[in-house]
Amino acid sequence: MKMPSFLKPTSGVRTGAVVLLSSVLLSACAMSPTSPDGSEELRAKLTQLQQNPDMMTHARVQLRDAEAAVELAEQPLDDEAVVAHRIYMADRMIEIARAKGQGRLAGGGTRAAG
Amino acid sequence: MNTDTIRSAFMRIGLFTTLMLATLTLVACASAPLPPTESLNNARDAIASAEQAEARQYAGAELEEANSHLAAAVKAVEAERMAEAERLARQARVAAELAIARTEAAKAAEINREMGRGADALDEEMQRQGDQQ
Repeated sequence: MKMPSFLKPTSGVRTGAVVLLSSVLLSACAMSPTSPDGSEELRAKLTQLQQNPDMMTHARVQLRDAEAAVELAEQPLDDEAVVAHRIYMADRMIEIARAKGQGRLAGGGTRAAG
Repeated sequence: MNTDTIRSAFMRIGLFTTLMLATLTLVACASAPLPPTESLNNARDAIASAEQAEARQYAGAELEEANSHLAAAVKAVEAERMAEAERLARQARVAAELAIARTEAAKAAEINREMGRGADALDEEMQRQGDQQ
């Protein structure tokens, strides 16, 4: 009786190779692109400011701009120069928001936020 | 026969020259990207504003950083690395804006401290006068 080809016994090496290849392909599909290095620290710094009601009152516009800059910096990208640029820009925008908030708070918050 | 051959040769030379010129023009346009003039001007304006706000006194490091980025941007333009120049110009601008923000915050804190000292002095004076009476 003739056996279908897929029922024929295969060598251990071939089976191993197929299993290994399948695992690699599955892992590649399961891995999602990660955020660039340094973006997590930026997010933490921004969240800390956003949780401060004084900052939200006195630097609302700057915090909104910083949020947009951090979101951009969190996007995965292959170009390292652009990644570093985005991280730098987001970091400085967070610091601008912090300084604006502190300045307005020290000045009694008499000037309008933004 | 000879005339036809000569005419055909001239036509080919003409076509070849036209194609060469068109290619050269296209290559010239493609290899000379424009400098990021607007970003550079924005950076210079922001640095000028920071200097006017006395950032050298209150946020010297940030102002220095802005100037250093601007200088690097100008060098990148000279080397025809326009994308890099654009990024550096933007970094110069944001560093200058940070210098301005920190200068304003430092000035506000300074005014606050002076007002506090003035209030303390007034309190002391009132207490002294109360003791004398």
